[in-house]
Amino acid sequence: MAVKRREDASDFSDLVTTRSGSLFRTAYLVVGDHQIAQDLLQEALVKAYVAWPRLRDVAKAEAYVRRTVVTTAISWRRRRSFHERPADVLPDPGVADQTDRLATQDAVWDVLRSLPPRQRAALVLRYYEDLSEVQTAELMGCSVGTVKSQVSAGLAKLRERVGPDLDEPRHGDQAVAR
Amino acid sequence: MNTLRETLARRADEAEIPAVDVDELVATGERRVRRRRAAAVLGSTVVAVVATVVLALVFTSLTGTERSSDPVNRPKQGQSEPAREVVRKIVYADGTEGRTVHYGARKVDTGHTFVWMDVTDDGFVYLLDDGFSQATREQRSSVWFSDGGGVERIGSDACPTITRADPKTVDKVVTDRSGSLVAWFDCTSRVPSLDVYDTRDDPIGGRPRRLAREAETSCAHRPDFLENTCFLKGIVGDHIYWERQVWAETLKRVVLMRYDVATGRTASVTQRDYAADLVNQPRALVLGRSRLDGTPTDGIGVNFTSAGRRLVPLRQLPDGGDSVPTKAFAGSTGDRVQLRLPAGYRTEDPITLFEWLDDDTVALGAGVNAWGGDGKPDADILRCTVSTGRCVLAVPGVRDVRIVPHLLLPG
Repeated sequence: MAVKRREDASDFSDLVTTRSGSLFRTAYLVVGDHQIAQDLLQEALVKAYVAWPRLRDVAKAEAYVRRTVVTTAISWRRRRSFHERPADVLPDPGVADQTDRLATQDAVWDVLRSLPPRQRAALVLRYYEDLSEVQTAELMGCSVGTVKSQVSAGLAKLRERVGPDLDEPRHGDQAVAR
Repeated sequence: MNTLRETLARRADEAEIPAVDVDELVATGERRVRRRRAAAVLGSTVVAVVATVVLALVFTSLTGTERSSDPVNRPKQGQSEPAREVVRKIVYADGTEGRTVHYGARKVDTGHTFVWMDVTDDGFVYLLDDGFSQATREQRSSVWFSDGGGVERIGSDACPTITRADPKTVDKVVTDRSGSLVAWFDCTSRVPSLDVYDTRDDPIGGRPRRLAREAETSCAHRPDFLENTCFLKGIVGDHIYWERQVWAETLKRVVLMRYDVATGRTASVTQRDYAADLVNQPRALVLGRSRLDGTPTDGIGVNFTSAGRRLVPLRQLPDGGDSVPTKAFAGSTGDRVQLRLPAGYRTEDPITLFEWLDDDTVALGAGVNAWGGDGKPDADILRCTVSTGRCVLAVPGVRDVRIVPHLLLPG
């Protein structure tokens, strides 16, 4: 009914206004490309609008959009531009100087962008969103075992290419900035 | 894993958050919703047709008899709700008397003389002049409905007509471009009420049912009481719009009111709300240089002039003066509407859009609802596809007055 759609549009507008920043960051980390992340977020939000009568509230809708971002990113296999991108320059694994922290992070980012989408999504959800393995599995639409194997494979590639810098102690606040 | 965490957090913080256009998202979402509904309707219709054919064959083979045709013209009871979203029929009446109405392939002899009618998904509505009442010193009008079979009175005392500057509207009774609602001000009581009628079949009673009756219009009873004079503006979905003029010797202001059939609430709204409502459904045209800065309309009453085979839309200037050529854009897709006359077709008459047959099809009349001046109008009816621009001659004219829905016969 038209009236219902208009109320939905108002609630939907609230979701977009308040949560699109956070959702975009997740999309960007999962795909590693600003333009594709925009497309991905737009697609996920449109899907959420269509499915709104089943979602009803903003919290539920945000989870739906986040899940759609992840599953759509994984399913966009034809968009090779962000899938399994080869790292341009492999970092030197022998250096662990604290002053090179930013350089190391750039190297980690390059390797991350070269990972297959499932591995990348699993790492983003576990180490950026701080989700449990169960929550990650739910969001990715797979089993917990698959999450474990994807995370393990992703970390192995990171360690292989970045070296011990990946596991260095963390300084300062443990909270992950959003 | 701290380096990984920090890397992700830093990259996320550094990412420039793009501006998200909510309106564009909603418009895209609405288009998908409509496509899904259309697909669902098509699917359910195909299933229903196949099931009906199979059942009929089985029944015939078992009994060896044929079913008699149902004399009742109404759709069959139990028809699924989505299947009601059917293509509207072209409706018209020829001659000045308007007695016989062509409703699709049917002819309905109303037995009444009238000069105005309207249409819903289920049939057509017309207004009958019941004469002058000595008691109330007012012109009385009744509202009638036909589903293509018989006719029935659905309203007894629609408030008197007040002709506005907008020539397409009779002000007394309004319908939407799709759906089953009819609305009018009822003058039976001292303060007019807003009556809203649903022309759909009542699956239980077998008769149309009244949806709502809103008593609190704050409108004047008679048009010569200038204070709080009201004019029906239109129906959009579940919303009935009317304008209430507030006078104090001179016109002080015009308030746009909206009655929501779903909630039963009445509220004052802005023209912007009305415009947004209009383009929030597929049967809308936006007139102007672009869809973004153009004027949303329901498309009804939009005039076109021919330039070769091209039909150029006209927009009336705000001061009510001449019409000027403009562009038209489909409200649903934003695509430019570029209608073309059928090959070899010529007319000197103004061409006016008078009915949406479905989301992508409109009916236009050449010289309809016009007296024609010195010569008789062609009164041809064209059926045009909005997305492709293709038009065909659907009903050849009679070179006489032809009354079509929504448009008021001058004089």
